[in-house]
Amino acid sequence: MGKTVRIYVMGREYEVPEGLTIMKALEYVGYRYIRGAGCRAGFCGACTTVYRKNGDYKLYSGLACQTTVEDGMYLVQIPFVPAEKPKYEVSEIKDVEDILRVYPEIARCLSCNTCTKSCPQGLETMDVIQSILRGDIKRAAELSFDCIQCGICSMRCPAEITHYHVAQLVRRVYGKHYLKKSKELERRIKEIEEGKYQEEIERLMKLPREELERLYKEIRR
Amino acid sequence: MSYPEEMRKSIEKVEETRDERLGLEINRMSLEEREEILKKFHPDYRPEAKREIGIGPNKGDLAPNEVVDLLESYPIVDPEEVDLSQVDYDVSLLIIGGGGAGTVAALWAHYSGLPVEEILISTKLRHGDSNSIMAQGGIQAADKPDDSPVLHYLDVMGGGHFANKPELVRELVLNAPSILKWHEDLGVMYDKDEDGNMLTLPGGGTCRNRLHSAKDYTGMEIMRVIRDEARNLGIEVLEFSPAVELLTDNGRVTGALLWNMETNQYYVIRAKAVILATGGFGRLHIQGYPTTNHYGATADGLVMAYRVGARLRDMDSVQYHPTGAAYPEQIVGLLVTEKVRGLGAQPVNREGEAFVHPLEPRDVEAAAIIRECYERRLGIETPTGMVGVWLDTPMIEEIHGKGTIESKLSAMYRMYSRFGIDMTQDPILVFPTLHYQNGGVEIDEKARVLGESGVIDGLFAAGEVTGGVHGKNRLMGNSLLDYNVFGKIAGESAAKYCKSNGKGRLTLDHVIRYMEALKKMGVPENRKSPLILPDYRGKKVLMRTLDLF
Amino acid sequence: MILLGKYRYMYYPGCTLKGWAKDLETSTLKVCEILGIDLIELDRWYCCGGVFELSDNLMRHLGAVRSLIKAEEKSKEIGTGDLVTICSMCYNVLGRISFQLKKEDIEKINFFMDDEKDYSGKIRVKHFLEVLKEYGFNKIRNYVDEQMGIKVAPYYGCTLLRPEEIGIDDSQKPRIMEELLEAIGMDPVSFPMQTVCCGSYNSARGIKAVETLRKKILESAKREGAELIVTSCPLCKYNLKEAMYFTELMEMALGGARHG
Ligand SMILES: Cc1cc2nc3c(=O)[nH]c(=O)nc-3n(C[C@H](O)[C@H](O)[C@H](O)COP(=O)(O)OP(=O)(O)OC[C@H]3O[C@@H](n4cnc5c(N)ncnc54)[C@H](O)[C@@H]3O)c2cc1C
Ligand code: FES
Repeated sequence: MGKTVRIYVMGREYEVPEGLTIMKALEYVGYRYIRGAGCRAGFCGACTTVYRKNGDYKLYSGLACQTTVEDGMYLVQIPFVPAEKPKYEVSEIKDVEDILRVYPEIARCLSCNTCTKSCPQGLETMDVIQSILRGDIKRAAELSFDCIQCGICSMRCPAEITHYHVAQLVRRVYGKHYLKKSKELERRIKEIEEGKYQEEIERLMKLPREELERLYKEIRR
Repeated sequence: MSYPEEMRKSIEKVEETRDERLGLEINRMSLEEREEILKKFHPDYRPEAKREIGIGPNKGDLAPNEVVDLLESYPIVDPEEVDLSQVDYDVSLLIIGGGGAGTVAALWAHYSGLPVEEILISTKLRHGDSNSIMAQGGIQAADKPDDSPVLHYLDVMGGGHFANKPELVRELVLNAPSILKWHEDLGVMYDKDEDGNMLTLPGGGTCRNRLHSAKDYTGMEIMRVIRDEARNLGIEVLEFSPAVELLTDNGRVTGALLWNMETNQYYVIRAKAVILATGGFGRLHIQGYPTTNHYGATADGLVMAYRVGARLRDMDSVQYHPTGAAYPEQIVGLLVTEKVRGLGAQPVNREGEAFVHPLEPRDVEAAAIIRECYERRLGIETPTGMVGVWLDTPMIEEIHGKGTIESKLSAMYRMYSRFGIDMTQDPILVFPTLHYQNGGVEIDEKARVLGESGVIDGLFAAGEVTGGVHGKNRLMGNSLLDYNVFGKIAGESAAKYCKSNGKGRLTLDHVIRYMEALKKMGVPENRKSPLILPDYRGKKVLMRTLDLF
Repeated sequence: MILLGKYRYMYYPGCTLKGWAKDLETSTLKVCEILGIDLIELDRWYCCGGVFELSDNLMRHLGAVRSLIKAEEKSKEIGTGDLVTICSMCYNVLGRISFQLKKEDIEKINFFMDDEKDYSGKIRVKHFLEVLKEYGFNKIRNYVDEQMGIKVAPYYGCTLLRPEEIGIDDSQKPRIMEELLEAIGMDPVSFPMQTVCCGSYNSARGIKAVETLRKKILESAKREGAELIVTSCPLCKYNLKEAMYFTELMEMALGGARHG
């Protein structure tokens, strides 16, 4: 074995090769994931891990599948985030007032910024909530776009806000009511409904392979 | 963890040739050249990697060894050990797989008149933990004035080497625009211009700019919106409860057996119809390749369906994505989206030479990279012995301006930054990675699963678990489309089926018969499937494991 | 690079002005355009914490602190330490917090903020009325089209005047709005209840007292012959129901419509 580092999984010490992700290090020492692993690539938010480091008071968080182990890490994974997800009808939600009816608790934001500091995606989470409060739906939607909904913000918020759910709603509101609808799309759908392409495609479906190959080359010229 | 000295030297060459390459138009290969490079270098053409299936409807057909191993396996549940008389969930529609196809199917089954209480989703991990959430690049639809569903049709067929099932391709391309419209109405934040029209990019093998995206989180954006909608409607999802076997009544599918991975309890589900939406098989690591796929992509659906007599097709071809990360070690195999090439980054060898058009169809592009590394030996070696070629990402900002990478490829940029590599300044190292299950369970245009003697009653399938839509090679952006179009069709068809059919008996008779056939073949009894999850535990630990309780 | 004039200030809008009190912001910006005053909005700012208005606990006003920190960053770019608010409530909270931070609290708060930028206490929080006074009421006269001579009663409420340390004028007998009104061709009328609280957030709890206060304040103004009441506070305006923002009146007087 080359160089190794010492990690502490829920307090128990293990020695693992350096350069592994936290996820692979846990597997290396014998854990088999049921919870705590989804995409294994930084897209699903299943693997949130909180940790402290030797001699450092800070509580860090990261994605186990995207964070390299360091010597002296005290690790625990958060398997599940309890969070209420209210039901709503997006077509009825258009502005801050509507959003506040679904998530009144966002008005409790203390601007402590703990959410931002805990975000493994490095998003400006508090600014998302603050933007909503002042009615800037666009900014809130854009700032939160890269959210993978791991929920760690919601575990740490003293105002008990569930940022990742709130942001989901805001993005849908933005996508539905603020982004303009595509005219080109509508036009094409109408053409299809009128059967404009049906016949041509049915014809292609019956063509022998050589004929199709010829057409395929032709459209590439 | 920036680049070590040796790799730096090659990067300098890449930098030297960059200006010259910016103006360079690289020729695309002719169909003949493509055939040739595929035969010589594509992993699919290595005869020792495949063998004939020895059992079931596809007996005699070739498939990767890893797949055949699973098909020629005993069930993980002993039919004698389960009590099917006590039903735990009694619903009209059971959907197996809570990824993209499963969620879309649930929504459309409901839109088609099934009450939400009559729909149940079983899934292996959490709702949405799937390949669908990982898609970055985009989704195809011919909505631009210079494009048409006819051109889209031809591209899909050509990309699939004309082996596709034509009626499925027709459904795919004709339904594409209305799927995007549905997304728009749900509030998916597609990249748009000021008038609301979609921004499109070229994709490998497309003759028009047809790729629609939501930054490079397209799959995540679509998945989280449809999941939110399913949650709003109150559709029940049993998480960490994969299906391990289908249940049948005289050949008709009537339910499934689920297994709670946390408590080990099994659940008996009775349903009028079952939709299979279990996705692909990347985690089988075909030929030892690393994969881009999520943790649960283990071909369970293929195995379960095959045991009830479903036919498989195009299982001999596997998609290797040309650009998986090859450095640093922590992210080896993870996807570097095709959009990186779509935006202008060229594959470049050790000497700084461009050697292939950046947007050949995937199999061709992958073969060209393998040739560069292993025949021409112009790849770059990493400290752990991986070999790859450069993808010259700084070109993107030369072409589209500063800031493009951070805004359009923020997922990629973030991934590399986490490991100390700034892809706006330095190229990234790539090598093909196992990406997509081209073939799968055969369906008809109503998403009904086909067996040896036609439709298998009560069983529908959609998404990556199916075969036929993409022939022998899927083009980028067509599988997000696939799971939406066929998820929708499956939901509608199954809802309709539920209206005119009752419930059936619950048996594992088909499994018992399958086991008899396995016995005749002499398959070793310790070979079991479905796999459910891969096992990545360290070897040293496994050697000293006691299974005590 | 923005070209900035002689009168330039950093600008903190606050949530209300971006929401249901948009008129207050638009009229203010219009007035500034006419007078040649540059209000440059902070790139990032946070809710002042008005909902926790009277709390002395700094932890409830981290938003205000952070906005002050953002203002310090911005001040380097545009070369002024003056941060202007229009909403009286925001003025009151930001003002009190910056005042409190001039004392020993600053270290405590910087320690809590940890790896974020420190606040060094250099920001001066100003209300827009003070900005106009600095600009010169006499100078404003030059922009007035027509002496309208409307009898206008300025309502101050609490937040512009109390606590005294941050009050923009004498807390018992303020004159600043009267002077401004006079300069823009109005006929200002002071009235006894002009510095009495409007009931503030009690309206949100549906408390009757707010209704009583409203009546008293309005009657008091009318008794002095007022035809119109002006305020700079969205909440006061909401509670009084019959008030107008002083900036809206200014926009009219300065011929906002004519200026396009
Ligand atoms: C990294 C990556 C990037 C991609 N990029 C693109 C792209 O840009 N454009 C594009 O069009 N396509 C892309 N694809 C392909 C595309 O995302 C998938 O093919 C598609 O999303 C598959 O959808 P699905 O619903 O069929 O499968 P999935 O989304 O994988 O869903 C299957 C679900 O079933 C669950 N499951 C599995 N077995 C069982 C069981 N036994 N019981 C219950 N549940 C089970 C799985 O855990 C999963 O949740 C990409 C794929 C990957 C991996
Ligand atoms: S496993 Fe999905 S983000 Fe880590």
